[in-house]
Amino acid sequence: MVESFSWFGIDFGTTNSAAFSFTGTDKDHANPISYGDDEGRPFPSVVAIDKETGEVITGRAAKDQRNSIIRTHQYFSSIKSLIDSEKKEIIAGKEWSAEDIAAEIFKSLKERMERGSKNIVKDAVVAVPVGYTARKKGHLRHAAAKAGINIKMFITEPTAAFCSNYLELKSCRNVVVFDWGGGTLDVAVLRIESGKVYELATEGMPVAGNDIDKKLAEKMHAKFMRGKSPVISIEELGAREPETMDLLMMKCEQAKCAFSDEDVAVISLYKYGSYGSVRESVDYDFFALLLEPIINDAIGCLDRAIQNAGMNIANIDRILCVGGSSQLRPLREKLSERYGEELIYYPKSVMWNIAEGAAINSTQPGNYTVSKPIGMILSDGSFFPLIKSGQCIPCEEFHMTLGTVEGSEDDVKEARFIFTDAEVAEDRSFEENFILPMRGFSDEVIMLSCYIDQDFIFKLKVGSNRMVEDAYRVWSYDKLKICYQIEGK
Amino acid sequence: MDFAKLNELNSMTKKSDASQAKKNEFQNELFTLLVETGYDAIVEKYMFEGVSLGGVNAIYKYYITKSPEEKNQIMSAISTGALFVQNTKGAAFRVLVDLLMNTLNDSEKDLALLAFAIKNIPAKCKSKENKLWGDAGKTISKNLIFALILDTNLPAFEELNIKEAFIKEFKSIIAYTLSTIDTQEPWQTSAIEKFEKWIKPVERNIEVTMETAQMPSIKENKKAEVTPASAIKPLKRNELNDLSITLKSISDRLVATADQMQATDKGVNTLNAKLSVVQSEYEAEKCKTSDLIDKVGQAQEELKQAQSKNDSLSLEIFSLNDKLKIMEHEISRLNEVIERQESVLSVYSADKQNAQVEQLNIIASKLRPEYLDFKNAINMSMSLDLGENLRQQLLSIFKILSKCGVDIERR
Repeated sequence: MVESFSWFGIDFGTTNSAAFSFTGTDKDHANPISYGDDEGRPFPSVVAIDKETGEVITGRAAKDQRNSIIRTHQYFSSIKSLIDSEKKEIIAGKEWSAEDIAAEIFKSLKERMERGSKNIVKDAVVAVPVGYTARKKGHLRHAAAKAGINIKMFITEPTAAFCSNYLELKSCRNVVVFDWGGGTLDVAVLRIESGKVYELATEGMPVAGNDIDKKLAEKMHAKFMRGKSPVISIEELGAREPETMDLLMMKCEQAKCAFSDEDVAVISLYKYGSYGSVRESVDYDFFALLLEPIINDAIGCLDRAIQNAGMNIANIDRILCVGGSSQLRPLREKLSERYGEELIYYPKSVMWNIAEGAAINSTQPGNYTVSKPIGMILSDGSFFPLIKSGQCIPCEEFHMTLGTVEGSEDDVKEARFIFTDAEVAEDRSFEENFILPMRGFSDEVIMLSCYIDQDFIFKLKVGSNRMVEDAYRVWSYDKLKICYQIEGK
Repeated sequence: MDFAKLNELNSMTKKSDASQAKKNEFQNELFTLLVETGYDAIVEKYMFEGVSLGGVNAIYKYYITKSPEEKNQIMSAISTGALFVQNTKGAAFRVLVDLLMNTLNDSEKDLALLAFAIKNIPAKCKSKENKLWGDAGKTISKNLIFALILDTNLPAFEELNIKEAFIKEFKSIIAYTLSTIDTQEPWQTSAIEKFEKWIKPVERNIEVTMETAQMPSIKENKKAEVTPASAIKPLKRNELNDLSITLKSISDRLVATADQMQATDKGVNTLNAKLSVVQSEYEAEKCKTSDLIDKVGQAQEELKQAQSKNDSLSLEIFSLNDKLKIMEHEISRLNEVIERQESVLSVYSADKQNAQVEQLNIIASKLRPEYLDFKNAINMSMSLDLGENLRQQLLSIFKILSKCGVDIERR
């Protein structure tokens, strides 16, 4: 049995997904390999299922034909955001849950990673957004399992991006990760301190590359409609001429990409519905002006994230730009103008950085640790930590027995608990009050156990030894303050 | 044990003239040695060499402290001792006399030791040629008769559980000795009388025909021989009666002894003949045994060599097996490495192939909108607009190709 020779990371994105591996005879001699669609680009996270046959189309094929197949297929996008949805759809006699649809993306990525080689994808580290709920993580884990992939660890997207650029950024203390992909902009402010990565603040907006394509398409449609009769909306065009709409979207995306190094782009179509041939020349200024509001929003998002982290731009050592849309020329110009070129850092392959960071963690796993303890307030007002700061995640279950002391009342009827994360009230992120009924036996004690699971959920169980275990109170908390131990990577 | 003192005392010249203190010292040292080691060859050596220093006293002193069983062992050890057996110059005889003297002078008489001494004295007082040692009489008179404590009780011979023949022989020797003593002090007379009574009915003045081996110290006129009747002084009547009885008894005994000796001679001759046969058989067997021992030795040597070779081969086999295991492990490891490298190469190869396909797909994908658009124009009638669009599309296609690495201009 040959040991692993490929270590995988997956960026399961809202709009595009990407997979990455380090493959070699050992971890120290492994080469990076990226896996996306069959054009070498990230894999569009879209799934189309034929309403009659149940045939599944994923990725680029589904994306490029979206309007053409919209009538015959059930079309799913932004699956990552909807993965915790309870909604199920019956398509061609088969019930589809959000997990099943996400599993199709994982299956396609797995097939792509294994294609033509001896690669067998069993385990992978998967990157998820900051604040991605434990519930969503659980569903994502199940979806991956349906595709035969065990998620051995989740890593947040900005941390993964930081890891993939660690050599460049290791001397930085405060780093902003500006991740602008096809569907969303995610900005995170990271602090690197004593070999640990703290996510201080995040901001985001659901406007990204696809919206820019759409906006350009709308503008071009308006131009094409000039002097034409009857004038129809772009939505009407899409409904009437889906193939023309797909073609327009594709040409607009090409034009968007062309503006990275050209000043003029011509968008022409021989048959624009019933309007015949159309042709419009668009210059870069027009394009930049068109994108200005979106770019401004993105910059505003970045500023807010820095502000939320309690800093200003002077505190930031580097802005790491990842994601396909971060390459937009108007954005690059704006960022350079506003923050200075030396502050902005574009890695070589912006679209693969997060997946690469996840794969690095698959090769050399770091540790997530608790950065703020969780404990309970004792009767004298002091704070007793149950999970201490620095505890690695996941952790073993911790058991504790608490004795009962007879108070001034005749009988102990109930035990009161306050679980929180700091001694001083102002520092507490939360307070969870518990009342546990007691039976009043002389030998009665309280049994408490707690741990943090692999999806970073703190789980606590408390009850009396005079209760059946089913009657124990349970509580879970998924907003733990955590940090990533990167030292030694 | 420090032998220096013993050796020093033992190396004295004229030991018999040593002071009583020196003798005591020697006896104490020997006793200490006995206590430490028991009766062995070393003790025997010191006892025999230091007999004049009273070495036997130390033996006796040690002997009487032991249990009957241990006493038997000591007597057995004495009797089988090399020096005792050799009896060079009657040394064993002197030891026996000293032992007898010690036993007789002890109020608690050890009858076993007494019997041992009485039984062995007759044999040891003679040389191999069956001749009495020259100073035997002197030894007995000095070390036994005149060394006896006068008021001590001498045990009856009947109490000793030994054959009558031994007793008779012993008595004869004592009688002979008594007959040779001429100088008599009053205390000596008492001692002589005590011994005469003890060995009675053997008389001191009987005719003893014993040859002496070396008798320079014994005067010719003291030699026991039949004196001519004319030379004998007239005896008193009662003395004559006693003498005639004694002579008759001796005569009878001599006749019986002569017969017995004759019979014994015959038996000895028969036994000697048998012994010579057995000895020749024994010699033959000894030769065979010796041959067999040689062969066995040779076979053992061969076996030893074979075993040694076997051991060395076993070690070599072990070592080779170890090497084999290591090599097998190494082969397995290398197979894994090869398999691993093959797997890695398969991934690299697939990636390379995919990259080529991807490159083509990228071109196809970028050309696809142009193609889809162009399909709509195929059946259109040519116009200025269409021509311009086609020109733009061609430009667009060339740009796409150029960006995809298809360098048309420089070809």
